[in-house]
Order: sequence, then structure tokens, then C-alpha cells
Amino acid sequence: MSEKIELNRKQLTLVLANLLTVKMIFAFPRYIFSTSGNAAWIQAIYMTLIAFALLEITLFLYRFTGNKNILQMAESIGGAPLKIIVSLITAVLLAANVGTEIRIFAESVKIILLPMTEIEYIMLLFAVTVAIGSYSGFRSVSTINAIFFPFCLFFLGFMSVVLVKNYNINNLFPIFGKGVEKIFINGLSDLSCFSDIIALNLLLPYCRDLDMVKKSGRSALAVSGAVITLLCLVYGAIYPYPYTSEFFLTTYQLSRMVRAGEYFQRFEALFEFVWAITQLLYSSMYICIICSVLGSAFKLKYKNDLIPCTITIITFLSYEPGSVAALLDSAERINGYLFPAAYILPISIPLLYIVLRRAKHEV
Amino acid sequence: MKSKSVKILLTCVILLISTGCTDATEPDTLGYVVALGIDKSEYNPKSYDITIQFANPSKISGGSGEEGGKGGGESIENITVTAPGIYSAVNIANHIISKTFVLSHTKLIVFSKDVAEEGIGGLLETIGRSSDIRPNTYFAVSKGQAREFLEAVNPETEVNPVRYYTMIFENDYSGYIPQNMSADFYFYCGSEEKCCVMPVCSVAGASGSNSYSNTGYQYGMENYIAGQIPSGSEQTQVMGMGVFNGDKLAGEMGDIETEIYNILTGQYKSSYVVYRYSKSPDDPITVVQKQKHLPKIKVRTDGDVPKIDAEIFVEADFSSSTPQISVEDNMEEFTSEATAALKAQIEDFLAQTTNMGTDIVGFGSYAKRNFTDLQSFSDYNWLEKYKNAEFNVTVNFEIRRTGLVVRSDEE
Repeated sequence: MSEKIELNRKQLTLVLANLLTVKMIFAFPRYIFSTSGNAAWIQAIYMTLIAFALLEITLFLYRFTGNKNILQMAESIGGAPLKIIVSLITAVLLAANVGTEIRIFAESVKIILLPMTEIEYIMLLFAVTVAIGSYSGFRSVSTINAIFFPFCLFFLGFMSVVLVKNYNINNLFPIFGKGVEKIFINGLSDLSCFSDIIALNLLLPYCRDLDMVKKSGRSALAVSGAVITLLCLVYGAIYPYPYTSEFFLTTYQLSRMVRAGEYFQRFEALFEFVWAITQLLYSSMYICIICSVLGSAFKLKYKNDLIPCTITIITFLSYEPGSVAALLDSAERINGYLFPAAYILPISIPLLYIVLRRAKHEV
Repeated sequence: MKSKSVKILLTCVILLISTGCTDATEPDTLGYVVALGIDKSEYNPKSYDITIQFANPSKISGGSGEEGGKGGGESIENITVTAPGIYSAVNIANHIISKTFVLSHTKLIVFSKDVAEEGIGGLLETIGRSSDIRPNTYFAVSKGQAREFLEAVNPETEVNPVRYYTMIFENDYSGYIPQNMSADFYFYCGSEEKCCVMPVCSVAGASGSNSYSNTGYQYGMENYIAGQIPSGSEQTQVMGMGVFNGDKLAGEMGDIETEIYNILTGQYKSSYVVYRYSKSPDDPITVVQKQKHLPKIKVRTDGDVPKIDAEIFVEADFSSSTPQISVEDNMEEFTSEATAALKAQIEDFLAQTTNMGTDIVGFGSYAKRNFTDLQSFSDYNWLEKYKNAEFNVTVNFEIRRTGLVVRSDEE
């Protein structure tokens, strides 16, 4: 994001909604169903409420910090060293998110579409495409996202309606699935699905005013919360537990079940189109943000030059797990370790910033 | 200018490499598997004799000839190989026939009775893991050899063999087979809440051997299972259902019981039903029966014996009646007799399921509503408790129309 950009409310909302939703749509429901069984939809609501509470705390703090993001505040608090540390933590968190998605996407494409093609070739092609997307700039990607993401939401809504005859409400019972404790205690570890909300803070300097940030943040979280809850309800009503925790591509499984009459079936083709474009937009936006974070940490003038090495490192790291099972396992563990940073940093850094600024004023 | 050239060059490179031929397949190199038959191997106890029935596209489309598609047996070919699993069989077949077999158009998988009795759990894994096999593939259990059934298939009335199977296994106006897709079987065959069923198929035998129904419902009809319908030729028949306990075949039920199963599970759409009427016992009344709306099922699990309330809603139109008396004038009496006959048939069917210890209707799915978590439902041991379940069946039966005739004795 080396260009001077100013996001409008719609763009910011849809960028955030994409970053929050893509992971949820394609691979994340499996983790939620593993945690709470057929009560995944309750856990989804619970997680959304917690994410909202955390968002409100950060939004409250923005009233005192203005349009500064955590990197700028870290610089004010501890100078360049603290800024670099915070930037690196943030970059690693974002890289872990996007790296997992890149590998899962490539592996899924291999399983579903291109079984004879080498995974290296698929990943290379996707990485090149993401790099081109990132080069075109955050504004371009966010504009395309503003056009395409509503289509993705429409696709999900349409699929939910077409699948109505497959719903079996009994699959959602027993109501508390694997138990209350699993939902409300173990379920906290799945809060990583909203960890992309940190992007809201990083995008603060590109927003016109705080009012827009508040509205966009709330809208994006509401959209993603509604999507994950709807997805868990639909998926849980169609597929019985424990199969909901076995299939790793939720929306693909749902699209396979679409069958309206003799001729309207094999909905996967549309799924693959929506899936590829949302993943491309998601990854491109992520790479832009990571480069922006690293660029501002090291005060680089030309942040776009970071794109090739960033995408190369992330692609190579995501290629490390040997199998899809190992990938999903390591993604779960990495997310478990890193995601608290996504909530802690946007609260702790502004708090420190406010306290120190007040102390200075008092002095 | 330089930047523009680089962009154009990059675009050209991407266009070339992204349309590579690594995964390209020409339609004429593929063999479209229409159905699979799985029998016990005669020679290797660890393997199966797997019959691959594939479409012959040149006969379906008419090939280079001008006369159009052939249909019948010519549109399909069969090959049988011995292998431990479905994909290993496909692998062997790829070396025999000059096509690469794909399962993405497979409509039917037939298990022989021997294989089904031993358990099909191992084979089901292929269904779940493969993105090739679709969730709406039909499963069936064959009374004889699955290979014999597939070889006898002769879709005379259809050019497209896939459509032939669709018309047979998914006919909304036939209640004599359960509409059970592979996905349902895969999901529930090992579940704690219900047992599964499969349609029974067979090559026609010599003649029917079952007793005539003497209950008021489907009065005078035979309770056929596939292979028992006298047809005069070596036709394939699909009728009745195989009842599974876990992944093993536990028994069979005839067409009348299958119709009741469809009514109770809500899959029933419409069919012709013959009711006995006490005022004209020699002239039973035929009606077109439809399911008005889904059955209401409530399960109480507060005691050791589950108590199941099932309320069904059917309506019917007269298709044929007796010329001797006016049923229209005795509508209430006929309705109450038909209601009692249907209720008795349902109770008889439910008693059979409890005797077999198989909850094929899926009352366990409703019982889950009484529990707060999966562990407490699991501890209740539903399938064991179901053997002693008590039923309270309520039938709402209504005659809506009388066809084009309204007869009255009073005139």
C-alpha cells in the first residue's frame, strides 16, 4: 500500500468482511464442529458476540487515539524498536492466516479440479496471480472486492435457499452438541476465526474518519458473524455430526448437495468460480497489508518491492507441512498460539499510548 | 512503455501456462461408468468381483450414423474384474478397455446380498472420500449376483442409461422402493439414531411366491420383493427394500411395507392404493393416495421404554369404485375403514421393525431432541431401547375427490 489511498465506507466494510469471511466459508467450520459438534451454530453466535465485545473495546479506545494504527502508536510509545517488534508480530500473524489459506486452496484445487497437476505448479501459479493482484494496488483490489464480494454472499444465500429440501432439523439436536463446556470454554480457542479483525486497526490511517471505521467494523463483523452462523446452521442441518467435522471444505460439500430437479445440479462449478476469485482477492489484500506493515516498520519508500519476497516466503512456508492433514493440524496449532495477539495488540497498545500520553501531559 | 511491454509479456506467459494440458481430458478418451455391481469374489475371499457398467456414447448419440441413439442394451457395456475395492477395479479395467473410466456419472451401485450380509462399511469409505462419486448415487442390494442384474439391464425405453436408472430409482409416483441416496447411507449406516435401507433389485424369477395381502390396505395385492413379480421374461425388477443393521443386511421387506416406510419417513408422494370396503368386499376401491404433509412424530424417552407418537396425513381421490353401491353416500364409513386399515398396516410395519431391532424410520433422530448433549443420547442406547418401543399411530385420511363421477344411490 505505497499509494496514498482513502477507503470509502463500502470498500472498507467489504474488505474487512472478505478478510473475516473467506476463512470461515471454506475451511473453518470444520474446527467449530470438531469443538462443539452439531451445536456449532451456538458456538458461532457466542464467538461473534465475544468478537463484538472486543471490537467495541477497541473502538472505544480509538476515541482517544484517533486515526493512528498500532504501528504508529507503538512508535510513539517505544520508538522504532517497539514499532518493529509490533510490526513483525502482526506480519507473522497475518502471514500465518494467508499462508494456510494459500496452501489449503492449492491442495483443494488439486483434489477437486486438477488431480494430475503437481501441487508445486498450482501453488506457483496462485502465488504469481496473487503477486500480480497485490502489485495492482490495494485500491484496485478493494474496488474489485466491492464488486465481487456481494456476489459471493448472494451465492451463499442462494445455495442456502436451494438446499432447503435437504435440511433435517433433527441433525441440530441434541441442542448443546458435545456439551456446554465444549461450546463456551473450548470454543474460545476458535476465536481465531475473527483474528483478521486486526486489519481494521491497520487500515485506520487510510480511513476518512472514526465514525466510518466504527460503522464499517461493526457491519463487517455482523456480516461475517451472520455468515458463519448461517453456514454452521445449514451445514449442520444437512450433514450429521461427526461427518461435519470430517469434510474440510464446507461450502464445497454443500454445493455438491444442490440438486433442484433433473438438470440443475453439479453446482460445484459455480462454487469453484466464486471460491477462486474470493481467495485471490483475500490473498492479494493480505499481501498488500503485510507489505504495508513491513514497509512502515522499516520506513521503506517503495513497499511494492516487498511483494515478491513476501509472497515467496509465505508460499514456501505454507508448503512445509507434508500432507493436508499435517497442514490442517499445524494451522490449528499456529492459530492457537498467534490469534490472541490479534485481540491483545489493538487493545494493549492504545491503552499504553493513552496512559503514556496522559502521563506526559500531567508532567 | 517498458512497463506496458512487461505487462503484455506477463499476460501472454500466464495465458499459456495456465491453459496447460497436464489435467486435460478429451471426452472421447473417457469411459463413463453408469453403474457398479459388487459381488463376492469366487476365487479371492479378500476381493470382490466388481462389474463396471459403462455407457457406449456412440450408441447413445447415434455415432456417425443418421438413425440416432440406439438405446436398449446396446447403449451400455459391462466388464467384470476382481479387485479389493472400487478404484482398484477401475484401475484394472483401465488396462482392459481403451478408455479411462470416470465415476462422476455413476448413478447406481449394486451390492449382492452376500456382500451386504457381510457388511459394506469398507466400501463406503470410497463414497465419502472421493470427489468423483456424487452424493446422489443410488445404492441397491441385489437378490442374486449384482453382475447378473447389471447384465440383464436393458433400458428399452431410454436412450440414455443414466436416465433409465433415474426414472427407476427416483420415481415420485412409485412408493414401492425407498428413495435412498448414497450420502444418506454413508452418513447413517453406523449411526446411533437410525438404521438404513436400500432398494432390492433382481432379475425376474419364475413367479410370485408371497401371500396375498388380506389386510384392508393394498387389499388383494401381493407383498412383492424384486424378482418375485411374474413378468414372463428375463426383466430386471426393483421393488421392496433391504433393511440394514449397521452396515450389514439384516432382512428384507416387501413393496407394501416399503410404501408404509415411505409414508412414515415423509418420502412418499403418490401412488395407487387398493382399500377393502366391507360393503363390497369383492370389489375393492382404488384411490390415488397422496401425502398431504409430512408426518408429525414425537418421541418420549422419559422411561426405559420409548413412547413414539406418529401422526400421518394422507388424502386420496377415487380412481375406481364399485358399481354396486355408491361409496359417495357412505363416505364417512369408507373413510373410517380405510383409516383403520392404514393404521393397522402401519402398526404391523412398526412391529416388524422392532422385532428386527432396526429403527429404519429414524425415530432416534426425533429422540435426540430430548437430550441436551450427544453423550447423554449415546448413553441412552437408543437402538437397543427401540426394540421395546411403544407406538401410538394416528392416521388422518381424507377422500378429496371422486374422479369425474359423483354417484348417488338416492337418485
